[in-house]
Amino acid sequence: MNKKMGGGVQLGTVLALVLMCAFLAFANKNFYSPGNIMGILKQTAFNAFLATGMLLCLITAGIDLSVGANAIFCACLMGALKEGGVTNGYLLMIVAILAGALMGFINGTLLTRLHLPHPFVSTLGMKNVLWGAALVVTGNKMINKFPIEVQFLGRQTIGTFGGGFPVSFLVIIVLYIAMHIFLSRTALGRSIYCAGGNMEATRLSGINTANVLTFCYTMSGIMAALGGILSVGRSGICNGSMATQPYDTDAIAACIIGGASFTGGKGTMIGTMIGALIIAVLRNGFTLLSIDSSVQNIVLGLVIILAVFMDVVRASMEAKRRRLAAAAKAH
Amino acid sequence: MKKFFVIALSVIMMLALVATGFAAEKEYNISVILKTTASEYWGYVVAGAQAYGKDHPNIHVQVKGATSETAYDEQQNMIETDMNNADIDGYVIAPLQADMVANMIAGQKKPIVAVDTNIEAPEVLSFVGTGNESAGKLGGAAAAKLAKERGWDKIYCIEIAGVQGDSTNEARMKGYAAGVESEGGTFLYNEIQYANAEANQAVACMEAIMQNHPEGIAVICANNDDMAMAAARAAAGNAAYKNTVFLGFDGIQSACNSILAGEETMSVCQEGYAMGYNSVDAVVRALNGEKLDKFIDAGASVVGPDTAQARLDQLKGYLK
Repeated sequence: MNKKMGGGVQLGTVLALVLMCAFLAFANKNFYSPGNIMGILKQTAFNAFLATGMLLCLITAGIDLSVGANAIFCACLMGALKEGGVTNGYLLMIVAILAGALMGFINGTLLTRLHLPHPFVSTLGMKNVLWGAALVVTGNKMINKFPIEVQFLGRQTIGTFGGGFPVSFLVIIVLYIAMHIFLSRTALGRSIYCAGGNMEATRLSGINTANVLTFCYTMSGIMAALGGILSVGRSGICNGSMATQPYDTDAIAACIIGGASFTGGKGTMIGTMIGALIIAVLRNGFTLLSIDSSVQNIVLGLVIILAVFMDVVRASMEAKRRRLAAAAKAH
Repeated sequence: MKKFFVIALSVIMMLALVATGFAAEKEYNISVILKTTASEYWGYVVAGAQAYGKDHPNIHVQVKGATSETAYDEQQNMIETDMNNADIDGYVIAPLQADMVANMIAGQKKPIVAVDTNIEAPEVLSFVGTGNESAGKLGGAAAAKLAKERGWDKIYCIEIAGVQGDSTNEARMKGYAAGVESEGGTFLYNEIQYANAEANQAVACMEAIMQNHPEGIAVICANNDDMAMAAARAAAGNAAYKNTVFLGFDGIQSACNSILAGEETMSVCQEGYAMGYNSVDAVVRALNGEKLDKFIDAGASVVGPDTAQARLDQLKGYLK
């Protein structure tokens, strides 16, 4: 189990998070204030939703660069419908989730049925399509005053400690536990890892890899839609121009820091959660310490490079271990 | 002896008065959250806010900003973090999305002052700025006027705009249109070119404009100086655009240099340094119990060939 979860590497990631928290607590006494901790959890939730879908794609050795734009498109679609007279919040959320799922399904279909060479290309194209679509549906306007049901996920808190525990993070905890069980205990979950490890071998073993991949991209779309609903609740607005933001980069970084690999077959929900927390803590620390935006860019860039470097080192160590094991068997 | 006592008493009283004066100077931590700190224009706002801290040692100014003017999520996180920071006594906020910020500051009891862009919320005590729309109107009118002086019969204006849907972009656009129309010109709404606030894209937009209007256009206005300079350079070899007025926004140092070199024609300047300084001052006054005016005008102007050198010298002085 420990091997499957990449226990050693995750221990290092947890240690990095702990050290970062310790440093920030030392540098600014407000870091550990209940209000700030709850703020970090709120700030983690959006990226954690996107990273869930991104992880599924990365496990299959793919990528979904449209997650951020899809989230904003879904938020804008709700805004456009609200402006058009739809006031039922539940209906707005259902439409958003269906739209996100459809966009994800199209991404998956482009890859598996229309045989576009790599999801990097198709999802990058989809990102632009969704950015434009978000502007079109809102008529280039910022939209606010959403129904209370739509704002529940992003705004509601439970209790009074530190201003209340955010419902969004509670949903994330439940989602991550469910996804962990799904990935590690179900046939489809294991098929996703198999497909990422060796696509051809998986196909030859009788698993419909096209369906598995399409499922992953559709799930990514659903997660993006949930992220969009969350963003409307947090900010109270939607704006098509937000689709230009590098949300996908943060989601990829969370997955890679958490142990996923661009070569596929690896990655866990717990690792992704720690990755998302590291990014949120880092950004929170930048604000508390009033660090200049240019330095922020440098540090975040270095963290992403370091995470990818760790991925490369991890892969080469694993290859070496396999070679040694094979040599020992041969003797 | 009596004389000595009088002098000693006077010295003690003076020291007591000075000590009382120092005791009255309360220490305050002011958080200044800007749209970004990664641009020259915002550098002046930063310099103004920090200058207030230097002039008043009891005021500790913490300046921060998102990495770009479209990094809405970053600014949202910054505001959320600082609203939970018990050490902060007051806030200056330049909102990227005013409605979003209005939701986030709901219920905040500490004084908040908006700078550059207003926030419609009861928690905001005052707005320090000019407003992009009114500053744009000033520029649009000045550009149309100059175009007339340069001999254009029909004052047509095309905008090379920033990011579509961005509130600052929309406000400047409205202002330009109103200014041009106030001078009898025509703002060509159907020919607005979006360049995402980038100089490279502005060049492509300007090339398209020259293709569509080989006869020339009286006024080309851009959402920022980078784009206005790029458009002016793209049109440099075209005789039909020799007398075109290229209007930018921000009045930064590179724009002044460009105006002096005869490329960009004029630029709308909002007084970033004054905005930074006055906004921190407003929060401190509110903390000291003073009632603030709802609007504190930081002033706006249009810099042209005659005033570019003076503006350049002034800006260099701010960043020393």
